[in-house]
Amino acid sequence: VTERRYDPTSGEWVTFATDRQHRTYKPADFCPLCPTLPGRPATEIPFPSFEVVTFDNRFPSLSPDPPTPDVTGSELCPVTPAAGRCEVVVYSDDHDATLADLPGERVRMLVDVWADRTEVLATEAEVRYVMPFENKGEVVGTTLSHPHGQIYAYPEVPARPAKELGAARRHLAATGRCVHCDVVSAELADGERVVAAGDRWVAWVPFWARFPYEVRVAPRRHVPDLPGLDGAGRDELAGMLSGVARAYDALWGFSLPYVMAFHQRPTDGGDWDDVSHLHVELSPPHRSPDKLKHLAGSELAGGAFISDVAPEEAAASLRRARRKVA
Amino acid sequence: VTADNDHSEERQGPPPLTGAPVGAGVAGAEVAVGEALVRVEYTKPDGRRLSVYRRREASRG
Repeated sequence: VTERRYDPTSGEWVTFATDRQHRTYKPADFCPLCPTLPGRPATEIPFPSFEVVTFDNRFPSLSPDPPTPDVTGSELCPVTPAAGRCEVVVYSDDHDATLADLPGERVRMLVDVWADRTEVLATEAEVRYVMPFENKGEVVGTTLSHPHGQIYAYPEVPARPAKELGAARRHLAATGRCVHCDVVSAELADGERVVAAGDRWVAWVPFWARFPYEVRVAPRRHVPDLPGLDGAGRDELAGMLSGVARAYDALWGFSLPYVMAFHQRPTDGGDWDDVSHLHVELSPPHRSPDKLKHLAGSELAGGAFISDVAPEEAAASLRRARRKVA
Repeated sequence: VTADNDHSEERQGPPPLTGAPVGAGVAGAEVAVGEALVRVEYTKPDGRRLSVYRRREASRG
């Protein structure tokens, strides 16, 4: 079953990709994301070394030529083919590295790659939204430990970015300003939740953080998407992401799992420039070194997050951790 | 070996690339990505796209 089904009770689409049940899962003695070495089995990447490589996911949820849906939709519950793209971004040929371990120039290269993939995927007819992301760690579902991220190119704006963009449009209508521009200014003025501030980018624990050590990273000036960043902005974003990743690892002395995702302007040709403010959301699931923040009744069923750590305390802890590795 | 941990297909790995470029251009042709990078696009034998990124300086060698 590979198709998208619409939920009229929530207004959201759900993608079914049952072939993914058979995707590669924590292989013990073979990494498909490592380079292909002479005399060794071929991997996904047929070169003995590489810097950054992207490729279409072998087990995609969305594909450019999706099969006809198995079921017939209705006016109430439409069904569409699962059109789009799912790409893998391999950060390095070093199997044991993480984003935090990569040299600065490699992270800078990744920023260029994320921007380039956004431009490439945006040209495809079925694509309306491009979201680079990384799932780091088994507790957030990573099935391959080699350092990599993914890019989903969706046929519509996914629910969370759509909700953010809706709030941004309402704020713009009410104030004439971008909500993220206002939030960045407010956080810089207050300072208590700021983890790192550069000339062009800011990393902070949101006032409303849903996860205890959640960090948001956004440019000071209004930039709608990754391709809109200039060279200096890309330089500083790379440094900021490295710094946050290293602070996470220094927080409790182990490589901290997280979900990292870029939210940016939809690629549907709509009027998004004034309401889309590029940002990165990093959401670690840990609330302490040995305890996870589970999405349970209130969060999963109610959509109402309850956090165990004050954002101000989390930011102070992350600033201390960042100083240890600066 | 159980169904859950049989990764024989993955151990064997996918077939190698053809080296054929995507779109117009010759095999191995480089596409400039900004000032610092180049991208080379390939199509895997199963039709999937693969893009190799490298720094422009490295491509000159």
